Amino acid sequence: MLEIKGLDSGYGDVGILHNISLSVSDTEMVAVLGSNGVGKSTLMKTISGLLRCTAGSVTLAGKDITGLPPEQIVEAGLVQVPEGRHLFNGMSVLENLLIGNTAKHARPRQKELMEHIFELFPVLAERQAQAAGTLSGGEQQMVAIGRALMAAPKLLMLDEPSLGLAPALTHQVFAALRELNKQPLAILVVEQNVSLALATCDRGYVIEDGEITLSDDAAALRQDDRVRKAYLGM
Amino acid sequence: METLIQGLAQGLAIGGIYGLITMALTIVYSVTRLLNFAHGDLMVVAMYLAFAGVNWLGIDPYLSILIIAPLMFGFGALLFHLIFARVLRAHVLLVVQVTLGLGFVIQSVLLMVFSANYRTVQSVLTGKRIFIGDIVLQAPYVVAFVVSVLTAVLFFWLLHRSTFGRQVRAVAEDAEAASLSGINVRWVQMIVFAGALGTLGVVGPLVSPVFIVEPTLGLHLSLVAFIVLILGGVTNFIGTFVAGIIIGVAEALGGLYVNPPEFAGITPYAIFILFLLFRPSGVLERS
Repeated sequence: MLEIKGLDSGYGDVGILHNISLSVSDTEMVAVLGSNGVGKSTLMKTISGLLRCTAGSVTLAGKDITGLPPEQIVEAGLVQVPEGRHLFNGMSVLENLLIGNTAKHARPRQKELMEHIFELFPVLAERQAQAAGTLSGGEQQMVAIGRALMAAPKLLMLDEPSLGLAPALTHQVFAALRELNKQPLAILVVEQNVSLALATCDRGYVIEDGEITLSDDAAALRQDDRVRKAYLGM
Repeated sequence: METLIQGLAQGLAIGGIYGLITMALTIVYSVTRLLNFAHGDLMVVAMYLAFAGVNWLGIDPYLSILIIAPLMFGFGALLFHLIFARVLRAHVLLVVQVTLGLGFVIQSVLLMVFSANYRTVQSVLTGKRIFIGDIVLQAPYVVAFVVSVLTAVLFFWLLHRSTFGRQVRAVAEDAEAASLSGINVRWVQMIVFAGALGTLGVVGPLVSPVFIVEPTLGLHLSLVAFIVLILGGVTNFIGTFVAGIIIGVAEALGGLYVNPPEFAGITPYAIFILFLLFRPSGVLERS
């Protein structure tokens, strides 16, 4: 589904990412792991078109989407849930979802997509008319995921979905992602909570200093000494 | 008493117009973070187009709105493309310089084409009066007020009830999140900018019969719009309209009662300073 080859990116002249290659198949849920400041968010922003890459290519379902602006990448089927959720706080839950339904190919399916989101997160159906800014953190994350799903993505990308959430809610969010993944929906998730990510995802990539230093099945990574020492505190 | 009512009516009409042109300024600011100091000058362009319509082509200013508004919309799209899109990410001072510069260019062109003479624009309604009981109102003011209120309501409705309006609000609140939701931010910005100029294309001809038109009028209009913008609470659209009316009425009543008359022009500024001192959050609290 997603194929990234030799990606370099950064801010202005400052290179952050070097020669990143990764892939996500149609049915996979893949984690990108690493500590603060290694370039995980830069990677997300580059894939979703907020940042221009300086080298390499991004292909989605066989289509080259390298260097396209964000709205065309959404149109192509790759949708990102941004770090910190970035909801439209002044708008209602319903309006947030409707904003997510901007992509042309998703618009005719508005009703169906929304019903599906309300099935996945019933609490959102109850809170439709409430201003998004007044929801709890967990509910806000559900709106953010719902908004992304309204674009009918082929691949869903999440940047730190556990950020600022209580552990119970984090588990709930990951359970929902697993549920989505079974549909099937390809998922790429950046996460600092390494143990949870490795327990949920199929495969993982470890980024250090802007480079991928390790990649394997989740089970194998859980057993890897380097991962255990650096990220799992064992 | 009669003078007071006349003054109030005139103030309401001009104030409604101030509210409307400031709404156009405000919405451009909220989706682009651009403060357009040429806003008033662009409105004067529309007024001169109405003047040219009457004197060169014999088209009544109210009728000419049908041509001038789309013309200004197109001009807005062009300006955005050629100038504003290039400075969107620049420092705020550069933007101020560019828009002020644009204002001076417009003033010079108007001066070359229309000379520095003070112009009045005649319309079918010039000299017509409307009687409500004992109150006599000048028809052009009444029409200007009614149209500005209707346009403001339409503005508000579009913003809150249409899909495009929702996209505009999304871009205003968080442009990056809007683009990640599939919204073409640049396109929304361009349509809003062009729409703001289109609004000036409605307002300019509408008020041209009650203004004395001259090339430097724009700077005054821009200044008033900025005062109204701050009084209204920057991105509060209803507050903006109310603030416009307050300034319009202050200006009109100042013109009638302030003695010596040379000081009449300071009333709006005095009110502005009083508001800054006692109610800096604007006319209406931000919701």
